[in-house]
Amino acid sequence: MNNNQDASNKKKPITNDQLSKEIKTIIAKITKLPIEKILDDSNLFADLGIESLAGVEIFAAIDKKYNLNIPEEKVKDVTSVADLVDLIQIMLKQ
Amino acid sequence: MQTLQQLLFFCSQKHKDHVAFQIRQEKIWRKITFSEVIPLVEKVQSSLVKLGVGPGDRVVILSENRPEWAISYLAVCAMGAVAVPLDAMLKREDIFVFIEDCQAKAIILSAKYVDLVKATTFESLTLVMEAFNQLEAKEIPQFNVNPADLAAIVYTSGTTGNAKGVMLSHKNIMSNVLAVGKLFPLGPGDNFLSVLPLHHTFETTCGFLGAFSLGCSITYTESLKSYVLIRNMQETGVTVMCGVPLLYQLIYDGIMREVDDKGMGKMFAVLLFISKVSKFLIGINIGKILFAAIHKKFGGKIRFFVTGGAAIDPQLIRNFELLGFAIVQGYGLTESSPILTCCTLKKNKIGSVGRAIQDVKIKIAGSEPVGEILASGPNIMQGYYKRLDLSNEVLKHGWLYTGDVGYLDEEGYLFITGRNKDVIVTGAGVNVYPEELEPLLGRCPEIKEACIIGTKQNALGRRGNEQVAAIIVAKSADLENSIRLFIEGLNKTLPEYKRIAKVVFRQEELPKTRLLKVKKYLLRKEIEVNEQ
Repeated sequence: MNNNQDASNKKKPITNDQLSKEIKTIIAKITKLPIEKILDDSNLFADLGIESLAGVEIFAAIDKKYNLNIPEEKVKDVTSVADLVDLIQIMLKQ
Repeated sequence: MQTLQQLLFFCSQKHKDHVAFQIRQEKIWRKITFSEVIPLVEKVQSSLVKLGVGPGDRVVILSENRPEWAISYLAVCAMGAVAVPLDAMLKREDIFVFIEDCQAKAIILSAKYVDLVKATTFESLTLVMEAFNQLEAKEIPQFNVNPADLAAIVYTSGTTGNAKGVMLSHKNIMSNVLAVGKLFPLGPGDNFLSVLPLHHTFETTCGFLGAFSLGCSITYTESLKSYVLIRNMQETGVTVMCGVPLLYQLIYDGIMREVDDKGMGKMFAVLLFISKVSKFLIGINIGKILFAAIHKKFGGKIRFFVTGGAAIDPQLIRNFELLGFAIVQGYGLTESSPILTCCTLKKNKIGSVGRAIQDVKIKIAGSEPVGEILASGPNIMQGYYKRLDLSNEVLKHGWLYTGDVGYLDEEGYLFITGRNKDVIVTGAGVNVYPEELEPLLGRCPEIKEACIIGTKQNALGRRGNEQVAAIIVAKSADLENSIRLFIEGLNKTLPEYKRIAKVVFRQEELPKTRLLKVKKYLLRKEIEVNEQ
């Protein structure tokens, strides 16, 4: 049943603003950083101190929320929160 | 047993139908038994011979963790050739620095990385792991492998003209593999989850060869995402895992998040208190009973975790202990195959990295109780490949100068307190060498002078992890923004672990010795004081 709900999530259009808010909440939860410090142009590595293993964990939480399967190799390609939002938008539309 | 060839034959005979390697592919567990290992090894050896590979030739292995990585390593070493495991996550140009440095004769890689060799001289000198089953085992010569023969070259760092490959003989590696067996009561009933990259010597020796030598199964995970790790633990009944401190921190954080999400924070705190009191008053750890639900989530069969590669916060080990999970810490370097010391389940002295393992001697240089850690034993490398100059810096009078600083307690347990060398060790156990990054900063015309140091990282609630920091003196203060942009651009060209995570601008010139060497320890102190 959960899977069906998640699958319907996948089809719902979501605005970039809303997605950005949700992604920042996930990042804040995993990194324990205050959400206000996580900005659209925050560099995940340089500004937020996220290592690739923690990045994979953020991907895992995003996978669960949006019923996606983001390839973990993408961790090295994503630099900012905005990049991550773009990547998820593309994957949600696929 | 003194060679990897002997290990392969002995274990394949002894453990026959027991599962040696398994991986989940398209929702099905693909399993390879010990007796199926030799036919696969022979197919690879036969194909390597056809490519012209003979004893002493270097063969690069490049892939994600999977059974074929292990098969390739065994095949190469058991034919007297030299395995060169490389980090598949490196950029193409970095990979080729190592391929050229070791003058590889052939490359074994997975389909994911085939594009790397396209249009190079190696295109026809490649074996693809996905095609192993289609290979034929024909005309395999008798290979004579001796303990002193070189088995592997493991690169710890490198740029063009400056690659640093650790040469390990069969005897080096086997002494460490056999010592693992003496440390822990493991056997065919055990199942290792392989999460660390296999080119990391810690995983090669402990998670792969050590487990293989004891007849344990090895489960390769297709992803490091927590829900995948947990599913794999549940589906295969994982009993042991070798990891780095950061991985354990993320696991613990994940547990705590779930407790919070379920609104069980208060109940959890009460159970932790009971666990603590019981351990303190009656010396019995009842964490496994109190937190049975967590153990069940991890498959219910975890016996212990091993940590290495970087310093772990002792409090994290204690936190796991209260939940009923044991984490034992070891210490070593690629140069020592890698294990030098390790705690055991019987005596897990938290805060210490354990006692010297079988046949290894540890002493502290000089006459003070705290000093550089020196090591000797059958596991110490043969030297750095084609770098006698670097070898002579660390191998002196039969001792390996580790560059780490520490002390031994009255029971011979080693405690590490710092490091002499400038190398930066990240929480994921990856080494970053400042001398590789500093010349790159020198390309920025706005920078007057700069250096790279490791600073303690406090983000993510973790203590002790190091991050790469650049200390920069700009030609003028108004150039700071353009320098930041330069570093942002530079970071995009670097592997994630080498990226500059912190930039500190200084008005004054960098402090130097009379020989004009930057006093990095002063800069590290300055930053720590400023951040307090």
